Amino acid sequence: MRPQALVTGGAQGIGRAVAETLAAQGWQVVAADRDEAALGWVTDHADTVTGAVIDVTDAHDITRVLDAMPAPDVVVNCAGIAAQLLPLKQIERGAFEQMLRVNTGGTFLVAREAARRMQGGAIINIASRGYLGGAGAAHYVASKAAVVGMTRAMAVELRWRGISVNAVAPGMVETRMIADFTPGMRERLTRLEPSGTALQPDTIAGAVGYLASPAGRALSGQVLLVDGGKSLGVYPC
Amino acid sequence: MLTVVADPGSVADSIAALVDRQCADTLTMAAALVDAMPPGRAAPLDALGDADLEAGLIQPLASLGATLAGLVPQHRRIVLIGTMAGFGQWHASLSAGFAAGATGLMRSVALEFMREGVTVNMIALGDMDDRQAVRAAGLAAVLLQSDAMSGQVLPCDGGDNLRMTQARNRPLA
Repeated sequence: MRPQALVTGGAQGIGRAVAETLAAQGWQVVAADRDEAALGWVTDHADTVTGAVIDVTDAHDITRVLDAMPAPDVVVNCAGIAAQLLPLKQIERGAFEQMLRVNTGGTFLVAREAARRMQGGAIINIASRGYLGGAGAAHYVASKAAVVGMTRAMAVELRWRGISVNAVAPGMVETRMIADFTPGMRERLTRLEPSGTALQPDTIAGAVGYLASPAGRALSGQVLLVDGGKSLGVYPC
Repeated sequence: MLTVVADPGSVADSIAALVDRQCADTLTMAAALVDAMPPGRAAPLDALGDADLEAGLIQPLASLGATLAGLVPQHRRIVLIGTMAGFGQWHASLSAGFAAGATGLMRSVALEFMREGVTVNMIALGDMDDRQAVRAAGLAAVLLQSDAMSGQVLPCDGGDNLRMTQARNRPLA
């Protein structure tokens, strides 16, 4: 039997690329997402990928999806939401909470429910380069930094059960999330990328594929910054 | 003038009292000391429920965001009193999430208000005793009177973090 992987946020963007990469590497993948219509792509990969509708903010929904599949060997938390750039004082309380509930709470709930079923393996959380700090999106940064903190604590606790827990912190990636940005904001952010362009989802999926591999599981509690060097302060010439 | 955002009797409040004694008269601009200690309970991942998530991470982190938004830019020296939990500890999935989230928030606020002369830093406490409180107060007093650094986390644990024992010290069941 192929090893089992659960990928949340698997309908598109990084999640879809991760699901496709893991399937190509020999995993049996459940791509779970809130957007049922966008999961249509899995029909072209029916032998290796199945789709499941999930709300990662609902523990019962997560349980339902996990109960319908064999115990996962790898779980990849990709589900998340981004934010338009917004000054701190304009971030409404409800928006702040929602950001935390989806990006951080969703990661927590999926990891907790999955860990209850896993017999070793790997949990990989998608954070963001932004966890290091960024002006104009304090709630998004807080939500992703919290994912990194949780990753470290979970790694301490779960390594004794043979489960590695790591985070991947992407820079700007060409996904629907950034397609929703205003043209001005998109141009401004793209200009800051060392390569002058956004990363492709496949690049992030490659890092996830490594962490899911036997070699990658030697790492735990780590954050892989996959950002083309932006976190070093590297700017295009 | 030192603004203290901490519950009476809390660790941050104790530190604030010491800071107040040390430097309240010498502060040249509005400053604030803010409690950013994780409020969640220590428990294994499996034992942390949905209510813990809400009370230990979502609500307090959103509240911290609102607190900081209310302090800047009028308060130009801000120090958060946090913990080392964000670096990873046993039975601290939510506390670590809160602590690291508070760090990310602190750095973002520091960056956003840098041009207005605001500095925001965090003191990350280890195991607390009276001696550590005095050390933390001394550190806070320096940060509240200086523009030398912003967006930084300063471990205040007497160097314990160098021993990297957190992952080894498995709590008794």
